[in-house]
Amino acid sequence: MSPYLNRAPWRLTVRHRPGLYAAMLTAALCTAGLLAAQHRMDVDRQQLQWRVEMLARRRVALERVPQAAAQVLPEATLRMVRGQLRLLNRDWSALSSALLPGDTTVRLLVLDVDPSKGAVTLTGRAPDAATANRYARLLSGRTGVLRDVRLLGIARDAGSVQFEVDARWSE
Amino acid sequence: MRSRTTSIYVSERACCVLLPGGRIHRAPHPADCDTFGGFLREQGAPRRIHLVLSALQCRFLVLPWVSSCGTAAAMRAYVTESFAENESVIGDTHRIEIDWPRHGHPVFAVAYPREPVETLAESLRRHGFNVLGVESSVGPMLARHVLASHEVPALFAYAEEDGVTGVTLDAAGIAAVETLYEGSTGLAGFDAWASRKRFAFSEDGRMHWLGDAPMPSGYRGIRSEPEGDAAVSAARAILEACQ
Repeated sequence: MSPYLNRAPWRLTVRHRPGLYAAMLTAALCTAGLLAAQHRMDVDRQQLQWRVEMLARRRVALERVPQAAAQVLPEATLRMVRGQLRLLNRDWSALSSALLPGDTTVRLLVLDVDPSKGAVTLTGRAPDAATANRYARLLSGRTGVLRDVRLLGIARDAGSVQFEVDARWSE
Repeated sequence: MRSRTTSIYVSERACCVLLPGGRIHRAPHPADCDTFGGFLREQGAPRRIHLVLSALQCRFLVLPWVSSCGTAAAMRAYVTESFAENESVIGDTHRIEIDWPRHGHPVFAVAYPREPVETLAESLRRHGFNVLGVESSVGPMLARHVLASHEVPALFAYAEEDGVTGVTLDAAGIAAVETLYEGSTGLAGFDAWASRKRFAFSEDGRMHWLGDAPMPSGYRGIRSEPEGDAAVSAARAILEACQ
């Protein structure tokens, strides 16, 4: 069991230790230098971080622009445009010349053309059923423009016959 | 190795210094202070002086830990007040030094008399010596003679030029310092004190007599080994403990 031996001396003279003072001064200077270097490194790192952020933001902004341009036209508009293009690309004058009846007794009333499917539906008036049949046979003969010609229906009303012809418009 | 310091043992009767040959030079105090300084310069003693006062000139207090003394100023006020109450010591005549304790440990404080120290230091300074510090004889004697393996509590007593000093140690440090003047009688006499101390300790082995001075007859205890064949005296024991 070791007791602690108290000593309370009265120091009359302060012993200056130049070595201790020099060591303290060196330590203080080193600490100041290290703090200054750390501050400089912090400033540099902050600047680099700011630049990285700016570049990242710029890249995001660039990526966003073409995506917005691609989605400008909605679907319905596109369909309409495609339909109109298809209409433009067909040979309408050949179709109209192919549908002309051989004589003046047959009158064409309604012409319904679906250019995307190529379906042609024709409603006309003839004096009798034989004339209507003759007209349908004439159309089926014009194989360059029309195919699958069918006489769909004959309806008899006051003194004349109304007939309906269905054909496919070939390319 | 730095130059050594000269230790001067100051008691109420004389100033003693240990010469290189092993002789003790004694100058009656305070009349011959000037010649003492001149004598030291002739001997070529080291310029740095360390004064060791006898414990009978200083006042000691061991105060219990008070938790309200949180700051150094509060501790100092507490110690000064206790000195004024118990020992009738005031700050003008004595310089109070505190051994700052660890948390919870008792406070050990010493009051050194200003006037003898300052006259001696002034006369030595005139002769070119530099007084580094002042301490009581308790410090060097305990540091030299008390080993770590002693069981505590224990009583360590040694002779001074003008009396006997007894230090009671326990695990926390110095518990009490008692001084007895030579030639005092009655309850303050040595025999009464020694028998009181015997009651305080469970066995005689706990009481030690330090140093080279002869052990008084009324003291029961262990005597530390004397060194060498030189003439045995209290001043020699204390000065050699300061080396």
